[in-house]
Amino acid sequence: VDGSRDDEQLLAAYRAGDVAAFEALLARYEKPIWSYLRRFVRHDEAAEDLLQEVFLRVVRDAQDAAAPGWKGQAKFSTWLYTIARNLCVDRSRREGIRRAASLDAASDDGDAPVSLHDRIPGTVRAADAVLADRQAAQRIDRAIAALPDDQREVFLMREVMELPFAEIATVVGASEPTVKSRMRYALEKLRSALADLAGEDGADTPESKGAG
Amino acid sequence: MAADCEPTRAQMLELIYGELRPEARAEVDAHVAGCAACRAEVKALESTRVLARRSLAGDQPPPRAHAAIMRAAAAARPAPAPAAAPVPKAAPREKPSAWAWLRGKWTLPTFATVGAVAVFVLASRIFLEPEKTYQRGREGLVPAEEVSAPHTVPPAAAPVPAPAEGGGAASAATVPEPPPSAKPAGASARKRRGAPAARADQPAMEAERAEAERGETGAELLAPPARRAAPPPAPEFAPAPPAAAGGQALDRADDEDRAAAPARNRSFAGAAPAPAPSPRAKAQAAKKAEAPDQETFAAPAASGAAAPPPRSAAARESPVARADRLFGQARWVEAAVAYRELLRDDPRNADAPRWRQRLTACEAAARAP
Repeated sequence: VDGSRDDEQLLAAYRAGDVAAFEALLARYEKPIWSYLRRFVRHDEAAEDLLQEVFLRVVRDAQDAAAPGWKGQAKFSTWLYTIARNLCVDRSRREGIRRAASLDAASDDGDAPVSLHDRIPGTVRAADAVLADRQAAQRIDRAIAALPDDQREVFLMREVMELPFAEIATVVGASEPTVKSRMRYALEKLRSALADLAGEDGADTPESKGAG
Repeated sequence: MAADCEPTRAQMLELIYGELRPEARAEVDAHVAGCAACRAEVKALESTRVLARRSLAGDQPPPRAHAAIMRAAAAARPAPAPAAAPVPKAAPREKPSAWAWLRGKWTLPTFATVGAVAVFVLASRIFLEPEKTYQRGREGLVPAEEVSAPHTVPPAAAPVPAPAEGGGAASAATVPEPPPSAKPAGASARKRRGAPAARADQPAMEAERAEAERGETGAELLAPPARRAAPPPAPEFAPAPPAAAGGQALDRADDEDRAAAPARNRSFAGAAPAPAPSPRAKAQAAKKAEAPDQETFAAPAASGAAAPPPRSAAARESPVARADRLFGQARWVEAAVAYRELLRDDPRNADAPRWRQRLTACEAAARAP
């Protein structure tokens, strides 16, 4: 939207009264933050509240120079992601749901129909392909949702927010090796949950499948 | 896995995320190029990533949230000094919270049920017995009146009724101020009507809940499911506190709801005296005067549950009423925005101290766990 200015410049402009600068910041970050929030809390309505809360903190911070917010000591994005992450953690703690959710792991009976579709050779009719895609998407969503919180948050920060591991370590307050090991676990779990899909996907381009 | 695969496997994560240190890069690349097992590993992990990212890429932030955030950002932007203006910290704790509790507890479910019942009753009356409805209307016998029949309203209250009808397309904001004499009359009429109506409200609900449940399917179709797509405000049924004399003496220590009363009355009463009503409108107003309870009770509630009526509820609602409603619905973020806008647009309003209090409360509530 406003590619010429970096985050910090946009924030300064908003503090000086430029609402468009704020909107540029919002446009830059609302999608990754939204994705992170909804995948983390696994509840869209709650995630929507949190999304507003994250950016309202920015508004409040810009409004009140005395607020204990971003002071330019860190990257704006790191600060923003830290807010999002802390809100999530607070909420999880409040809800008493901060426990490993891996009990309902994705390796259940949901696999059957997709595998069946996957094995239908060559000319899959479009409707079947759409159905298979949808089922595959559901399975991916479930597999991500089933990751334990600490692995899921690292995975999301890496894939959605595209933070390097060192920065993730800063945000979650853990060492970089710890973060990497969580990430490795997360990827392994997803990999085994999606093994048949991934194999199919790797061998075939999606286009060749959809065209039939 | 061969022993010489180990260094590569240990850096697999850095490899697929492009975080390999340059000096390690060449070595790892060379190994992967010559090792089928490691190549397969890289491919498997990358396929997993591709699948996951495809799914994540579909997450689209809700436009509603974007709009709400931008409203807040725009409302907060100007006035750096007034924003930090002294806010009465010692907000009277019990009163607002009890009020908010009551409203939070009852308003939504009550209005939803009342709306469902009203839609059901009206629809069945209109569609199943059109003639009867017509006749009753002519005789001035309106069925829903049975609920609240005991309190008849003096003719002085005639201009008060129904925000839904009287003012036509005129929104609260554009409607002329009612004549000075009408204000106290309206206020007292509302007061008189308000209290019994609130009491009648409950048994009526009990009695009609069964019916509501039967009509639920229909109501669900009409009423938006999301909690945030809440029904537009029906007039409050809770006892309206007595208005301060002339709506003037607004002591800060005064009960904040008392302070709210004149504003509310204005917004409702203001809709009635439309400029130069047509004879037909007059006749309708006269009819309404005979059944004011039915009007205030059924009409707005029905529009609350049903799909947006042609005259949108939002247009009818004054900014103050809207802010109060959002506050009552515990929608802190939006309420804060609404109060902030009120304060910005009209900082000297007699009601402003109350807005400021509520703004503080909203911000605290939004921040609190």
